[in-house]
This record gives sequence, structure tokens and C-alpha cells, in this order.
Amino acid sequence: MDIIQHVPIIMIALPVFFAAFTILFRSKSGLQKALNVGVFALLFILSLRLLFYVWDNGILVYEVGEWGKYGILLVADLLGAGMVVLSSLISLMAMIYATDYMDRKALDATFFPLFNLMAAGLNGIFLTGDIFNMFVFFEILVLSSCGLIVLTGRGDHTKMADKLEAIFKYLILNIVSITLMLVAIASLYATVGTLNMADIAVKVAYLAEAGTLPWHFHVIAMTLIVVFGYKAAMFPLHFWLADVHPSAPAPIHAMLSGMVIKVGVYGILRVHYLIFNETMFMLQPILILLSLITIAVGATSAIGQYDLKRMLAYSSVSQIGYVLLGVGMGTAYALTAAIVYLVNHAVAKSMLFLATGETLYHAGTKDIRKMGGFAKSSPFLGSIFLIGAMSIAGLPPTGGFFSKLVLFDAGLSSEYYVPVAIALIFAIFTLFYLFRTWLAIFWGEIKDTDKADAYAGRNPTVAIKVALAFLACVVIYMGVYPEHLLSLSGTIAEQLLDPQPYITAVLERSVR
Amino acid sequence: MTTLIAKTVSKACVPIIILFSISLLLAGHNYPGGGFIGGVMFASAISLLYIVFGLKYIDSLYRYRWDKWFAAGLMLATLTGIGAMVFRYNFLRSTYLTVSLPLLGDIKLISTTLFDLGVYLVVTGSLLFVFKTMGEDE
Amino acid sequence: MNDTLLSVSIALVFGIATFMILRRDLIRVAIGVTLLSHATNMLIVSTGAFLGDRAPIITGEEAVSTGGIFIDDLAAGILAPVIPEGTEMAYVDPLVQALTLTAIVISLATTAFLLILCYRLYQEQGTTDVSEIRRLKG
Repeated sequence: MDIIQHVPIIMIALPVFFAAFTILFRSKSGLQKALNVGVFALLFILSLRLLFYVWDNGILVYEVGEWGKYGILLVADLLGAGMVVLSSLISLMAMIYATDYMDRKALDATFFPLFNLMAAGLNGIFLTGDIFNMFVFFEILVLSSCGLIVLTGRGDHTKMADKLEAIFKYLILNIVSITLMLVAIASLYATVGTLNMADIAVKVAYLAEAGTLPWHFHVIAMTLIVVFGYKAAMFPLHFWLADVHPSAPAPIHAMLSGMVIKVGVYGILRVHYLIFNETMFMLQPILILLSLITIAVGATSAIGQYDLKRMLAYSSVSQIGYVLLGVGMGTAYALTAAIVYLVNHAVAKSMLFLATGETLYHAGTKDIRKMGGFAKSSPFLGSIFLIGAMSIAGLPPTGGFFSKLVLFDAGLSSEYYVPVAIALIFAIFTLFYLFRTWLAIFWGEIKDTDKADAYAGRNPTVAIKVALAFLACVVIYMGVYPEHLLSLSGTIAEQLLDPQPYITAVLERSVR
Repeated sequence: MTTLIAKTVSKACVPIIILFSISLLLAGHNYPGGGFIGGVMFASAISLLYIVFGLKYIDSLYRYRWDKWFAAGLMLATLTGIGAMVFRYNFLRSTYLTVSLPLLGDIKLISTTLFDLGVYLVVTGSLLFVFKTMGEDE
Repeated sequence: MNDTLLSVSIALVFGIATFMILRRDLIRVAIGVTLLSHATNMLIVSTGAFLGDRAPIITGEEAVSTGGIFIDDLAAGILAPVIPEGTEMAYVDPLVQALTLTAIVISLATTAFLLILCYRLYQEQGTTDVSEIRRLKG
């Protein structure tokens, strides 16, 4: 058996192993930094290798423990492998950034083990083929991110009491949503008697064909929409995000807004488009309606904010609405657009949050009204922030332009004129608040002239510059050469709408 | 809680509880038991000592770093999985070896026991780490 | 799941848990969360406890396929835990018990985390009243 076929489990097992390893070797700070950056670089290279392998050779199925028919499977199809590449990229950059950004004490105590566990949880969610296993990885992700939010970094002006309050909200809401997911999984198991998602899909199709699909199947689909919608901060469940995400230090904020809320979208794409095909006709209008409200609520809330991180958190709510709009429209072209949008937003938003952490450190405050003129004291941060803002607002030559273009084109081609019009109006809102913020922070004269010397001494270090510059290159690359991402997303969308290859690959493998 | 009766009884009980936890750990492949249950049992024995004799007294004898147990257990459990990959099997593939020992007869040595031992250490370490950290806080 | 009493009691525990989570005291919220996980575990176990009344431990010579649990013959229209007409069911479904064990372990970790969080929140803010812990707004 070739080593490439072990990559799905390595993506999960290696971070778990290093989580334990970093606890044992806590005191050696320099070794820890080099080792962890090395591990995440290795994971990124392996994930790219996995994506190319899956692109060339089709879906890769890995039996953990070789239990044959009844074991847990890891399935790396194009969607899963693509998401793993995305999460590995962002976690590598966040890790490089964090080595200089986080407080020494936080780095030594808990940052590395928890960050490793978070990466393992993310990779596990994207690669597992078993719905109960997905729940377990959700739980790993939630607990490790709760522990990471408490840690402090250098541009982090949130008090400990506020952080604890944010975690309390996050944890309680997550427990309730995860319990809902468990209830849904138990009901699903009682209905079809299996937890393997491909197997469930086959049995549900069989039941639907026989006309004996029980009514509570639709209730399960709705419950799972609530769970994933909560994860993705969809409209009635978006309120926690603006409290929780800004309380986290910048690298964790980038991970949470870049990847963790995308987990909800991934869940809808994977579970609902694979299993709940029979219910999608009912769910798609709901998704479109809620995503439009999400866009509106997020954009209008962001306009009124003077706290920089909080404003960008509301911007995340608004942007996830665009992704869900594509998911809700449900044609192949719209799903392509949703995936392109998801990738572009993940990269641009995490870059913007990493730059924000450094900007807040530079300014010494989190109030936009007290900032100004930083383009003179830190031109690097100004240009990075500008690229991020352009991508989120959807201006060429960044990736965000193509994601918005494709999304609106998909909406128009399947005759969703009103939703596209509403989304377009709020895209102008996005443009307005992002550029107002950029002008307020980086343009004009320095407001506090006494502090001008202090600003000069608080510029990004080399590691932070490397992480930000790399992400900026990715954003520009996706704007200049969008066809690679478009063709990948198109194939993923086709596979989502026709899950037969996935089912065949999972069920008709050689059973030992 | 530091009455004479409690001290005497726990002195007698704790070794028995620890032995029972180990027997649960070793029985766990085909019979009720396993790493988690054994670990909880072990943690309850040690926390009984902490409650009855007081944290400071136990620490003055030997100051234990339970978080290292946790890390060692997690490493052991992961390495069991990776170990199977060294032999060109899939992750966590288990195997067994039957050995005949004098007096004891045939014994099945199952590689999953190592994984269970890792779980045992993780559960013990994390529970006791939590108890001790909370208990030290005045 | 034919047992009405079981269903009603599960629903009752869910109700109590929801009520407790909506209280204003931090500790009551924590208790509510614990009850919520218990209710879910009961629900999962109840999905496997159909007709069969023996524990799913296969010992020695009794390790015969009873032909009920692991059937999934799509051509015959049989889905796994759905018992076909006339088949005798000897064991309860062991898979749901494994699921429950996993859920219990996870809820153990969550509860420990939550309790420590409540304690730290009390230390930082000097109150356990949820309605007074409202610093984040905007």
C-alpha cells in the first residue's frame, strides 16, 4: 500500500500526536516554534498531494483499523480534500503568524497543543465518511477553540472577563446545537440503521423509491440545517459570532472566521446534498430567504460599528450569507459559485484578520475613531489591508471579484432576480463600510501626534510579514488566474449533485 | 473529611480500587471494562486520597504532574495507530499473539491493549489534572 | 421503540434540561447541560432497545449470528435494525451502546470544561447571575 493512501489518517493523527508531544516538551520554546511550523508545513504539502491524487485517481477511501464492512471510513473526495488544503493553508499561516504574535506565556502553556487539536478536528470533519464521527470531530473543534479564545496576544485589547463571557456563550450554544445534532443522528440511525453517509444515502433512496420514507426524515433534515446554520452563523443564529470572534486573539480569530464557520457550509454541502436530496426542494427556499436576511443583517450591523474587530465579524456574517445563497440556489453553477466564494472569502478574511491583529497592536486601541494616518507609519499593513478589503468587497484584480461575479451570474442564469438584486445592494454596503474603515485607519494624518514614535516601534516582524504576504499573493493569484479554482469547483459541484461516484467508491471497495 | 475512620478505610481501599481499575483495563477487550472505565476508577481512587489526606499532604510526599500522564497517554494511543502503519497495515489495525506460559496457560496478547492503556492514562491524567488545578485554587 | 413510558421520561428529562438552561444562575445552566446530555444518551440507547433484552456480550459458544442486527439485504427490503417479520431478536443493538459511551466521554469533558469556566467567570466577574454578565455589546 502506497504512502499516499495513508494521507487522510496522517492529516488527523499527526496533529493529535504533536498535541501530546508539545505538552511533554513545554519548556523548550524555540524548538516548539520550529517544530510546529515544520509540522504544519508538512501537513500543507501532504494535503496538496492528496488533492492532486484525488483529482487524478478518483475518490480515496481509507478504512481505519481495517474493520471491513462495519468500520469507520475516511473518504477523501474532491470537496473534502479541497477543504483540507484550504484549512491547512490557513492554519500554516496562522501558526507562522502566531509564533511572533502570541504572548510568550500563552505559547508555552497551551497554544500549541490546542492549535494542533483544532487542526485535527478540522481535517477530521472534512475527511470523515461517518456522520457520528463528524459529531466527535465537531466536539474536538469546539473544545479546542474554546481553550484558544482565552489566550492573549500582543494586539489583543480584550479583558479576561470579556473573553470568559464570550466563551460561555460559545460553549453553551455549541453544546445545545451539538446535542441537537446528536438527536438528529440518533433518529437517523433509528430510521435507516447505519451511520455511514454513503450507506444512508443508498437506503434513503431505496425508501424514497418504495414510497415509505417516514415523515420525521424531513424533521431530521431541518434539525441538521439548524445545527449547521448555527455553525455557519446563519441569520436567526448569528448573534453569538460578533461577541465570540472578536474576543479571540488574531490568529485564532483568523482560524475561526476563515475556517470554523465554513464547517457549517461544508456540513450542508456534504450531508444535505448527499443524504437529504428528497428534502432539498423544501429547504432551498428557506436557505435562500435566510441567507438574504443574513446578508442584510450582517452588512447593516457592520456599518454601525466603531470597534474594528467587531465590524469585521459582522462582515463575516454578511459574507457567509453570500455563500449560503449559492448553496441554497442549488444548481451546479450556483454550487460552483458558492465553493469559489467560500475559498476566496476564507483566504481573504483570514488575511484581513491577521492584518487587523497587527493593526490593533500598531494603534494600541481597537476604536476606529482614534486611528488615522497609519499608511505613513506602516505602509505594509496598509497595502495588505487594502488587498483584503478589495477582495471582500469584490473588486478586481482580487479573487473576491470573481467569486461575486460567478455568484451573481449563477443567480441570474437560474432566474433568481430578486435575491441577486438584494445581494447586489448589500455588496455596495460592503464596499462602503470596508473602504470607509480603510480610509479612517490608514489615510489622512496621524491623529495622536504624541504617539507617532510609539507607532514606529510597533511594526510587524518578519514572520508576520511572511504570513501576510503569502496570503496576499494567494488572493491576487486567485484574482488573476481564476480558472483553476473555477474548474476545480465545477467538478466538485457536479460530484455534489451526482453523488453516485462517492457512494460507489465507499460501498463497493474491496471488503476484507 | 480527615477523620481517623476515613483515613484508615481509604488506606485499605485505595490499593484494592487501583487493582480493580487495572483488572478492568486488562479485561476490556472481550468483557465489560476498558481504558475509560479503568481510568475513571483509578482517578476516583487518587481523588479519594486527595480528599481524605488533603492536597498539601499528598503533594509534600510526591508532587505529581498529571498533565504529563495525559500527554504520554495520548502519545501512546496515537503511536499504537501509527505502529500498525509501520507494518504496512492501516491505522489502528490490531492483531493478537497467543502465548503459552507456565502456570497461567494460554494468554492472548492483543495490541489494542496498548491503545486502551493510552486511553487509561489520558482519562486519569485529565481528570486528576482538573481536580488538582481546581483544588489548589484557594 | 415501543415503550411509551421510556419516551415520556426521555421527553421529561429534555424538558427539565431546557428549563434549567434557561435559568439565570450559572451552576443551574451547567446542571441543565448535564441533564441535556443524559437525555440524549437515553434517546440513543432507546433506539437500540427494541424487543431484545439480552446484553450484547458474545461469549464463547453462544457466538452465533442471531440474524437480526447485521442484516442489510436491500434486495429483500431489509434495513439493518429494522427487524424483519418473524425473525427472533436476541440481543440489543451493541452499536448504540458504543455511541452512548462516546457521547458520555465527550459530555464528561464538556462538563468539566463548563464547570471550570463557571468558576473562573465567578472569580472574574464576582457574580453567578447570567443577566449581570453582559459586558459584550454593540
